[in-house]
Amino acid sequence: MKGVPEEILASLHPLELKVIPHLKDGITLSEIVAKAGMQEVEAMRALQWLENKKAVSLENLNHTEVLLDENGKKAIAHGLPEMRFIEALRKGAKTNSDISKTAKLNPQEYGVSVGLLKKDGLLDIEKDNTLKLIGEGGELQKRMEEAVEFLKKLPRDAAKLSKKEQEVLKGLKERKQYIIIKERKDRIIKLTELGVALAKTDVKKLDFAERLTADDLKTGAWKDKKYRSYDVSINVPRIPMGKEHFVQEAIDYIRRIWIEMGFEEMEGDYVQSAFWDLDALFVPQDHPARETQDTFYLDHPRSTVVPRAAYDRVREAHENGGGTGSKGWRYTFSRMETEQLLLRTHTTVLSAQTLWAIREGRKPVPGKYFTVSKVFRNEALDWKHLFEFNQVEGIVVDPNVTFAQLIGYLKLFFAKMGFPDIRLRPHHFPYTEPSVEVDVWHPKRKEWVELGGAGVFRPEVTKTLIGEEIPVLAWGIGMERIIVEYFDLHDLRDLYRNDIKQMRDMKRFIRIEER
Amino acid sequence: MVSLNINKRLLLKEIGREETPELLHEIARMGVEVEESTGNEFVLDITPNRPDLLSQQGFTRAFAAFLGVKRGMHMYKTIPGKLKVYVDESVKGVRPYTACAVIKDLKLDEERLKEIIAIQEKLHVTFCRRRKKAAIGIYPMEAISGNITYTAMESGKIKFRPLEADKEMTIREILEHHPKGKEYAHLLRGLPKYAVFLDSKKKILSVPPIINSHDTGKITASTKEAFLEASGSDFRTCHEIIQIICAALADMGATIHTVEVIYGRKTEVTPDMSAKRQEFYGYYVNRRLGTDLKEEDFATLLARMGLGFEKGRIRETYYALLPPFRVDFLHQIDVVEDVAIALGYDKIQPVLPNVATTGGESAASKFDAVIRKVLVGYGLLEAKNYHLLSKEYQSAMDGDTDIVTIRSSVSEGYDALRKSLLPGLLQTLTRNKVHEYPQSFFEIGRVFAPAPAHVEESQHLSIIMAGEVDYTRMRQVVEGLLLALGLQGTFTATDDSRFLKGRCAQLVVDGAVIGVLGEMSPRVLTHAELVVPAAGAELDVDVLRLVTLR
Repeated sequence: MKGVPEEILASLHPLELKVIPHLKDGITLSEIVAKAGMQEVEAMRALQWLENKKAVSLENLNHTEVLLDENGKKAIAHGLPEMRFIEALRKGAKTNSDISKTAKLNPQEYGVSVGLLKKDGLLDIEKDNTLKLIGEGGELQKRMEEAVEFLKKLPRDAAKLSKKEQEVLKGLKERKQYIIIKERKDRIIKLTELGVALAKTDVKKLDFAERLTADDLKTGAWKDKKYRSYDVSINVPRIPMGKEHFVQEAIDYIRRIWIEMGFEEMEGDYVQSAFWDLDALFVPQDHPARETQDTFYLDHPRSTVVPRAAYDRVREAHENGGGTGSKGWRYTFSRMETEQLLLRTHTTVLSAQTLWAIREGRKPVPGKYFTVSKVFRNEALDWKHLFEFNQVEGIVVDPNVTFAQLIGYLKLFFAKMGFPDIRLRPHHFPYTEPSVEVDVWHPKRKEWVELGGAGVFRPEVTKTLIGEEIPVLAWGIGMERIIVEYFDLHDLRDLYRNDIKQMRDMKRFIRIEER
Repeated sequence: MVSLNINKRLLLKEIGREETPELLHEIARMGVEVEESTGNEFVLDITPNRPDLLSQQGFTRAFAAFLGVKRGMHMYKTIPGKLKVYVDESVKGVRPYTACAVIKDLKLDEERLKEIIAIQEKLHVTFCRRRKKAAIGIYPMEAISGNITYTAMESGKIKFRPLEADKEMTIREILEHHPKGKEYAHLLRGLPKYAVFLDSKKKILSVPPIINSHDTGKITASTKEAFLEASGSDFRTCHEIIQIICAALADMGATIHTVEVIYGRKTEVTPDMSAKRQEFYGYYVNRRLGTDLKEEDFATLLARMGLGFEKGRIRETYYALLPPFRVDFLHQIDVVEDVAIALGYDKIQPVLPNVATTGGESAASKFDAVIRKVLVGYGLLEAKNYHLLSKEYQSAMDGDTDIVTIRSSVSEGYDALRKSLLPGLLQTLTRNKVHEYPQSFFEIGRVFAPAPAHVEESQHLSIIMAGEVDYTRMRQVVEGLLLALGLQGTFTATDDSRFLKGRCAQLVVDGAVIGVLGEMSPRVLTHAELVVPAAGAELDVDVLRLVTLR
């Protein structure tokens, strides 16, 4: 086994061992397949591995194969139709039907034969429509014999045909279903020095064990055995794994940030009354955003009953300020409007309910509360619109909190999300004052991107719900934009398409903040 | 939010500045978003609390103050006028209020005329809530004879030539055929009578909120004097509209003349263009913002917002003086915001939070996380479907038609809330038909059931496995979950049309029904266009949590 390094020999796969005895410079893949009695894919894989080991090089070899078709087979068995036609004439058949019968021709074959004979000037049509052969027809007969001979030798490689045979092939190509021309891909194998050495090696004598077995271990046989080396660099097939939804991973990441900062998670219903979703947050009942085209109002059931104590306070806040020091919106509050059921338009409804829970002693002050959960908007689904999306909501309830601290919280959160630079612009929400819109500096896109709204709840909200005017910092941040960008999606609907391939291949939501 | 187009050249001339990125940022710092800057225009987004900004004049006025070009409060003189508007009792219950003004010395051209119509239109859409709350009318003075009556007439008696029509029409014809009539007809539906403005010769000036008369209610570039009214359900709103428009017209150089609006024995002289006062406490502002501002700071900052400042008698008690067009002050917190905007949000130093609390995730979240871990361990993929799902699709599964529905969803096929998770997961399988099997999904999420005067919400878990699966496989997974939760369940045969007969079990843990599992019925699979067998489960996570924590 001179010339072939031990580590190469140790790494030969059983398939390679099957191929090696047949290696020869210039041999083709198909030849190896035939000789080694292997599947083409197996042989091919073995050859690629050998190529990786620099023992062989593979070159594409495309050749054209000529195969026998239906009419070709018939011609071999019974002769070409025109040959049978001539023989019928020779036997004395004269009329159309006589010839067809004697030569066993169908109308199509009959027609073709007449055409061919006429072309060679071999056919005479008498006045009474009978047919007669002119001359011997030796030339045509010779060609027909050649054609049949050619057909008998199929399949053939088109590249290896003689000039004469190529002419015959040309003639047969023009005829229906005599031959099939097929392009076939093959490889030609060139041996390197190592390949030549390998080919000379008697691989049957190699004795590398394929697997380490339990028996080897039990008996201690492993001590005397050599094991085949694997090519550890080659690709391996993937195993599908179970996974949480990638949006869930992102949600959990964001939830963790707030939990780390000492926030308590809020929970509540998706279906809410207009009362909690809008009125408790001092959104005037004729506010344009309340119209049906933006909000999912329910049809069945349509309305609910609002708790009496809360109802009266909120109604007063709207009508006259209700002792909050505000003038209120100064209109007549509608019970019908407030009792309507809807799909919550923002998670701020949970903040409102938390403030009411504080009044009832169910939640403590100071307190920090958050949720990352779904909100709904009546939108037509398209690549940049969803009718439901996740909102990151947070509130801080403490008599001493300030607007400056709100900015502090927002800065901290966005820094943890990978956006250390934020910019705040004045904005308007009916339930916060001051109100801000948060832009973050996008480090990749190099521009400011709007990501959420925030503010300090108005006294009309806090005093009405809590019972005293405790400032409440609040924010609501859209999450989908961050998620879509992280996962490099370009269509918002891809978030909830649940495509098995997409979900299996999706990377994990990992963000590690820099400190 | 409504967008407003501002003539760039006029604005820049008025404030004496060039267009730079900094200037655009100054607009944003004032609380107005710049949607885009085209050749001739800025397209701005105006928030609904600032209807006074909804005109070239209004925005320029505020921005000039903000930049310090024309600091402080703009005040407008009114000249006592002679025109009277008699409000008849009959408008009560129809359209009870109006506020009016007379404008003189108008120097209009086609450009200005367009601006006036634009102000009216922007206010109609926003502050007037698409004319539902109030509507505005402007009339050339010369077409009006004598004093005006605001009254209600029976619809059959109303006939006039509406704006841009070529002949007289009855109100019914207007509501059916005139473009404005068709657009606003819904606002008059069900009213016994319609409000109208009449002059002393009983000529109809207009039928608010629909349309003016072509003969007496069409102003042109040559109009020098105009009658302006706003009518609606609330006097204050009407008056505020008049104040906002008068300020803009006065900025164009016109003079404002009052009108006596006579409500029986009570007379309102409108417009009142005097300043209002909003009391505020210095310490309140500082405590809310986390600042340390002094008296003189307040005066300077409020001036930037186009507001005046006055000291009160008691220490730290002040007044913000509000020009008549600033209609967005309800509480001293509104002063806090204007002070913050004037200061600049970026000038307020962020303070790191110091509210010490112990946080934590909810019990439900913690429990869901455990379920996820177990099922992921079994190699299942978590799916997330929409909470909205077609009622028809859901009902087709089990014949249950008592489903929570939405009034008018604009997304087709999403007209109801899901009552269980299995239908969504079947759709997930349908969507993944092209991929190889086996496929296994689970979903944890909210489901909804109608109840008297409310909706019952619960958290469900559903599992679906398709390919070479049967009841045993599903049961193994469900039992694995129970094992992880330290529970033991009883599985008893049950009938459920969603599952194959004889291959469906009800799961009971500790006496509580948790849900069902089994092989999906061929009918259900066929409905979902599936040609592979599948096993499914639908469990109530809320109940499961309760028995786990018991």
